[in-house]
Amino acid sequence: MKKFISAFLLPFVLLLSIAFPATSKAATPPLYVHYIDVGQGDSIYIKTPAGADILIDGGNNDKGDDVVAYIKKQHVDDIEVMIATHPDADHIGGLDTVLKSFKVEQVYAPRVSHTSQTYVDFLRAVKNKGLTIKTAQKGVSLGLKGVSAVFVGPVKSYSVDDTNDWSAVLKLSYGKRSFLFTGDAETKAEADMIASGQNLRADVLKVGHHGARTSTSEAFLNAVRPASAVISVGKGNTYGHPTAEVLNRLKAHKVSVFRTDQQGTIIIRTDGTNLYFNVKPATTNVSPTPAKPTPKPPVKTAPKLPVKKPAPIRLSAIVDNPHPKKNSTIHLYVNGPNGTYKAVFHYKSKNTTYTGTINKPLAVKIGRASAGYTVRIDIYASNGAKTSTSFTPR
Amino acid sequence: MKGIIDRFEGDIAVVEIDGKTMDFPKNFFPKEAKTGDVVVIDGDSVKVLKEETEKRRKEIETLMNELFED
Repeated sequence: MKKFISAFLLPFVLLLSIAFPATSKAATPPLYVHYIDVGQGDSIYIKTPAGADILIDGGNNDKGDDVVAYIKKQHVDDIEVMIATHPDADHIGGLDTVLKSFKVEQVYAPRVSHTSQTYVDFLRAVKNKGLTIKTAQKGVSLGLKGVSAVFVGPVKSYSVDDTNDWSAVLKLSYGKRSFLFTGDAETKAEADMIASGQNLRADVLKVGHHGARTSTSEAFLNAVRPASAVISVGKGNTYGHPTAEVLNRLKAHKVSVFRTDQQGTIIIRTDGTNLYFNVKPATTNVSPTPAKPTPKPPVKTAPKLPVKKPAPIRLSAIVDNPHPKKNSTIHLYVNGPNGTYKAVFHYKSKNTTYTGTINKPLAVKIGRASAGYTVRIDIYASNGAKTSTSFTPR
Repeated sequence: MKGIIDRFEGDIAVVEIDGKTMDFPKNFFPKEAKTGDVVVIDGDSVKVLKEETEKRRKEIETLMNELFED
């Protein structure tokens, strides 16, 4: 019966929102949250009602330019707050490029080190801008006008190689609506946030760690009680994100799921009362009726964008010595889902085909390959995936 | 080929090589290999460079001490 009523009322609600679209907009300035499609990784751009620009993470190393282009398109001239949730490359990789392109006022990061060049590049970019870093941890407020933006995590220190649990977790509230940005926080960090007694309740949850099964625990979902969730994840990623476990957990909690791999950039606007999404939820089999006693905001959607086709399985390849000597042996690494492949070496004089097993190094004696001539290697996997790499003998 | 373990994603080790990340099967790596370790990948053997890892981490922590406000 309940289902019937909401199905019956929905057209009228939609009609009302079309008939009076500007009413609430004119009364209260909106807050915008953009979950930018950066493939496998995170990058979230927020514009507060008072006009402050916040950037949480900047995608992988090769996504910095895309993030810069995206936020420039949103007419951003300076960034009031940059947050590096934790030092993993798929979160901070692009931030050095952003720092080089924009005036940034404040940088927040958890106090955990990483030895990667990506992390060094981030630190150096901060230094070159004459900036310092404020420690992101439980209780620290961004001190922005018109919204409440407070870190709810990390609540404590973790082992230095547990970078995910160090994730800076931000809770952003505007009016009656709130968002939780979790970085890659895993079950341990989730349990610590719950134990700290903070109010974690949020309407929209950025699903931790791209939907990996080590995050988004039952207990955490009970504490956050989100109506909607956004998964920032790459098409055809090799890590199996998002996992069926997490999708099922979200489904059991009747959470509407939005996915950057299927729907591209997800944009949410709120006037502090209602939430407006640029797309419909990715999963259609989630019941639209609220399951929990908390009142949920009506979700209104703009026309649906075409859903992109699933990407082929990702394959990556590299040779251990990009500048080998003549007659030496190189190793070709083709990594991805198990299977076999054919590798065509385009030597100057002829093409030679080798057969290999994915995830096992292939030793190749390169013979009298011409010095200075770049040998392209085209790799064709038995599952249809393709990739290429190269080496240049010296 | 030298790299730094950026992170583990389930059965996959994500290794940063010349500033780019590349996926490797985790079982290539010795059991004790951790996020942040500097490694040498040679054929199907992987060696962790403990001293170099520690030296790098110290240098980076010095830079962090300079940049973090507290």
